[in-house]
Amino acid sequence: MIARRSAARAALLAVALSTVAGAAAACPVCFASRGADNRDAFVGTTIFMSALPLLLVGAFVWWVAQRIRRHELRAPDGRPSQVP
Amino acid sequence: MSTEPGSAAIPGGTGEVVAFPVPPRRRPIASSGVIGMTLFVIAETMFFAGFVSAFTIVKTTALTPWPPPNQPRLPIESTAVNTLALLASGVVLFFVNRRFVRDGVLAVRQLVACAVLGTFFIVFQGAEWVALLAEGLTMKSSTHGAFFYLIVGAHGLHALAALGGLFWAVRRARRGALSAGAFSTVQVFWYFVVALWPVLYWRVYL
Repeated sequence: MIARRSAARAALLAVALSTVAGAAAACPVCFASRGADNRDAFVGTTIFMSALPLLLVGAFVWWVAQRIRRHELRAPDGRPSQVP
Repeated sequence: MSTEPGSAAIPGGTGEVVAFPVPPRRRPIASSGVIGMTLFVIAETMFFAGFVSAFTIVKTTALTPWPPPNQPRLPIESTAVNTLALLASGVVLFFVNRRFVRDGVLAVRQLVACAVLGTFFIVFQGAEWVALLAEGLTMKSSTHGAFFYLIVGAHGLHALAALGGLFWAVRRARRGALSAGAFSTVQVFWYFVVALWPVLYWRVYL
């Protein structure tokens, strides 16, 4: 009985609070509607920042793989050298 | 896998020496310095990418024309000359390295020339900053000024550190104590500074 009364009070309080709540305007990209340049900048930098780490890590892995391959080819006695 | 025998006394044993196979030491594919510097360069590339992205967004968000009308213009022409000096230092370093790899000769004079060109770049940029500060472009004068000093200043600090590496390499080379790995490490950092600058020039100055 007490629990039911508490729940009713909480619901009443929630309804009362909802009447005083204002619209939130904290969207970090709400100013994106300022123009085509701004929208393009958002799209461009999103692609740039998403692709760059992949490119960098991919280039590093490719470079390591190339070094390993070259290293194995240079093994003096024909055996593949011990490469990590 | 070939192994070379080793031997050791078993701890807590009877003192008997036991032979065991020792794997051969692996030859590294690159020096630790080069790999470490490459990873550092990757991290720093993301650092500058963040700056450039933020600058691009703020530039297009500005309500006034960019750069702001009441702010001094950036010296595009003279900085282009400075850019050429930095690029030339990269080219010189490339040829120094090519001769080093091909003939095993480290051309110290050319290495000094590379460091002098790098010094010219930094001194020229310092003079440019003094002039811009005198004209009223400061960190607090506008977002334009804040981004300019932040991005160009961060690159300048990297250039200064890389230049320190170049002079260190020159000193070691004169003593005949510069290892190939250390030289390659210094090169990776300098090439990063050289390759990054045209991108920053394009985004910030033009």
